[in-house]
Amino acid sequence: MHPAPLVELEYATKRFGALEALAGLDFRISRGELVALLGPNGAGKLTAVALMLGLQAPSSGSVRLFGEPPRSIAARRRIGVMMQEVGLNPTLRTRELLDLVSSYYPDPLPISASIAAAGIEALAERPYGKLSGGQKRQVQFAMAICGRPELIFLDEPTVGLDVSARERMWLTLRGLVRDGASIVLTTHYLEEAEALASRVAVLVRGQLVADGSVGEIRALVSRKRISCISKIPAEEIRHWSGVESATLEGEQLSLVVTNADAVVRRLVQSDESLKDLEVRRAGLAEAFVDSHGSLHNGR
Amino acid sequence: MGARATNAVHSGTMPSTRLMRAYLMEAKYESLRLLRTPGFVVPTLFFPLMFYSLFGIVLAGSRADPHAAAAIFVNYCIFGSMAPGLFGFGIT
Repeated sequence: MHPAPLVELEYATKRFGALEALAGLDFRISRGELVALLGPNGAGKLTAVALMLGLQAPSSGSVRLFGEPPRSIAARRRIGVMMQEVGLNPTLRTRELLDLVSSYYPDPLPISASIAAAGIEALAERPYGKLSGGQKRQVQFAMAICGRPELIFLDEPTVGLDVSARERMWLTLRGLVRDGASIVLTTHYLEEAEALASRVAVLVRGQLVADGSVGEIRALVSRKRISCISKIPAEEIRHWSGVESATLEGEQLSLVVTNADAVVRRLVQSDESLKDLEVRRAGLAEAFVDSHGSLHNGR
Repeated sequence: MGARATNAVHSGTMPSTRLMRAYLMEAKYESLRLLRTPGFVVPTLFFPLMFYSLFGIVLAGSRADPHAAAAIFVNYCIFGSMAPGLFGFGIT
């Protein structure tokens, strides 16, 4: 058996008028992976997922799902999906919704097993329209996994969930991966990616700026930004250990560093006239986009 | 759940009995949805019955033309059977 990727995007782009939502995304998902698509708002995460699901067609490039066009029914019977905005029938009860969705799949879980896996025993007989936002998310989660899909798409699955429901969902997800499922989840939160993912792909402005293990991504995000006014020339600081880049704007020196404590100590020691020292943690977006708005590519 | 339970071996194919069942389930829950929607039940199930009783039986009395009552009956049958279409049966 050749390890064909479950999802394959080849230089996929998506344009909405003048806006380029995805700029040539080249991306593969293999069996057994739990991939977190991470990125700030408007980074193109949802567009990427919409292409993989066949909800939208790419402007150029190609998308394959199980080696088939994403809109083929055979491919769709092998996936489970939980999106942000879904219009489900408010008059049907949870158990009825699951019964209906399970019937779309060739070999679904028993309804009671789906209910147990999502931890929604208490909601089983209640109409969907009467549930709270978080409870609806849990029901949608049960619907995503009820068909024993090989690949599960989750769009910010834990938004609106309380802590215990979130932990429960994470536990279920880990169990599904252990049983052989693959998962794609989009999230804003590095924390969620850290708790779950075997692989993290970071999208910023429609481009894949980093793709690696959780540890690798965390190392990138642990970068800090130091700004100060100093006599030390930027060219010199650039060679210090732990300094990734040093730029001078006017008299403002700005550094991106991996080891902020050591660099600050050295700065203070080597320059007595140092002033306006400021250290900031680079956020997820900042970790990948510098102050000029251009992209860092990985490291 | 057996071993590799989530690792389906069906490759997306579905036996025709299950496929038939999926359509039946869809119809079943669509019907249930409509029956639980007062906006459907009142104008499409209750009104035709009420109007027929009113115009075809009560107001017509005993001296009515029996053909007129039959025509009214057919009218309201058609009205009732069109209703699921107007409510987008199976579209959602």
